[in-house]
Amino acid sequence: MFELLGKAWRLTALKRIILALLFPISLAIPLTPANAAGDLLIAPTRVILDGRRGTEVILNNIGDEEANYRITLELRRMNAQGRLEDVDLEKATDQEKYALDAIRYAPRRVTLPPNQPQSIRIGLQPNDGLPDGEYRAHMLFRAIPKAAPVDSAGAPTEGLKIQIIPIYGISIPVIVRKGNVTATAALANVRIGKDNEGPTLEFDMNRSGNRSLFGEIHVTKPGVSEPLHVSKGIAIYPEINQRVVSIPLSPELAAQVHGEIVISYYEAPEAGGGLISQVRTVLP
Amino acid sequence: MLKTTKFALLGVVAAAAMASTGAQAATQTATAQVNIVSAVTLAQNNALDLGIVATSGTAGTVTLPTGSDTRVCSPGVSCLGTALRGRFTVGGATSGYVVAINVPASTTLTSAGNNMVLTLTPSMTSFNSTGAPQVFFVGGSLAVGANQAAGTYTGSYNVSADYQ
Repeated sequence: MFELLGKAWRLTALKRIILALLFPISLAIPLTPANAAGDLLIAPTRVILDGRRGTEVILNNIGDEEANYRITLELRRMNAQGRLEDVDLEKATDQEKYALDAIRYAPRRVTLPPNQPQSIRIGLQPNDGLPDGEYRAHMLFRAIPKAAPVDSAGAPTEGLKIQIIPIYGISIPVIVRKGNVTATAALANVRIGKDNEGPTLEFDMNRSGNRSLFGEIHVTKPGVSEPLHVSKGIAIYPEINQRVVSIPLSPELAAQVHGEIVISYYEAPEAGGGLISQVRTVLP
Repeated sequence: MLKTTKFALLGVVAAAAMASTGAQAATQTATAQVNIVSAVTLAQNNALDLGIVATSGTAGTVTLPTGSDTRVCSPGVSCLGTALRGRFTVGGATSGYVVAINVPASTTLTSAGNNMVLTLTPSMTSFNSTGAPQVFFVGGSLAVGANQAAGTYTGSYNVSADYQ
């Protein structure tokens, strides 16, 4: 029974992706007038490899011209603010080098006509000598810009002109888990903070163990069934033991986060949705 | 060898699923170990353009804020033409999902051996998706030297939407 339910759910999820692949422009970006060469769609947005079986990620050209895409593995480290920072290859730790060695993928460069999906296959290089643990790299899908001809006709004779080409893309984590890996988290020090865009609700997330945690933050008020706020896709990676989670406070939300509030960290629904940690606090 | 075969099979199954959405094919594809959350898209709507800048014997800066397409030109430079912020749209992100926007602090533009540094500023460094397409802008500040040589200066910069 559970098996059947599981399959039905997965089927629905897959259908959703297929729909998104078939109608990416009409469904996903109704406000955009025209799409540029190199626009892209990626699904899913997170990959976990914990066995010998491989998987795949779909890359779709949602631009209106043929485009070249390059797929690379990058190293990123989470900082204390929860942002992923680039890591130079020369400064990579052994753990990070193992990840680059272990993750195999193909193709690494594709040319796609408009609205053409391509699956990027991802697998593991078997390595029985690898210590138990979690290994991670970030797969970056980027459009390679066509070399723009220097616009000599429009070149100013006196002033200067700027031609700047963005190389834009999407990165997703690819996580390898080997052997027995566990982790727990604790939330603490809930406070009202501030960033460039305005007031925030902040707290510390502490992690222990040898793997990452990933899930959803729910901000609730005792006695109110609907959460005041939900932040999905919140991770804490093994390279750090503590990070700040900062939730932007809209005026509506700011008006509600007074008195007793509860902040809960749940596993993602597809991972079971279990409660990882919870903190109860009183805000002025 | 076995791995290669599996990969090939997966590819075929995925192609079949896409063509027909057949239940059988979809069920087989779904045995891959993936946390399917959603698809995400990134599209560029406008390229960052600082227009035309006339230089003088005094160094200056041309600043394009993230909040509007109106340049601020310091003494020493004159701004001609029109400017546009870089404009991107992230689409398809699941409601409630946190997506980070990554733009480098600066990039160097060159023209026939002459350089200028353009510092870059995104209008947001992350956002909590509402499920609707999210637009963000990239502005910048260009450091123009005294008697900076005329010409077309070219360069590139990286922009990524990052999932945790």
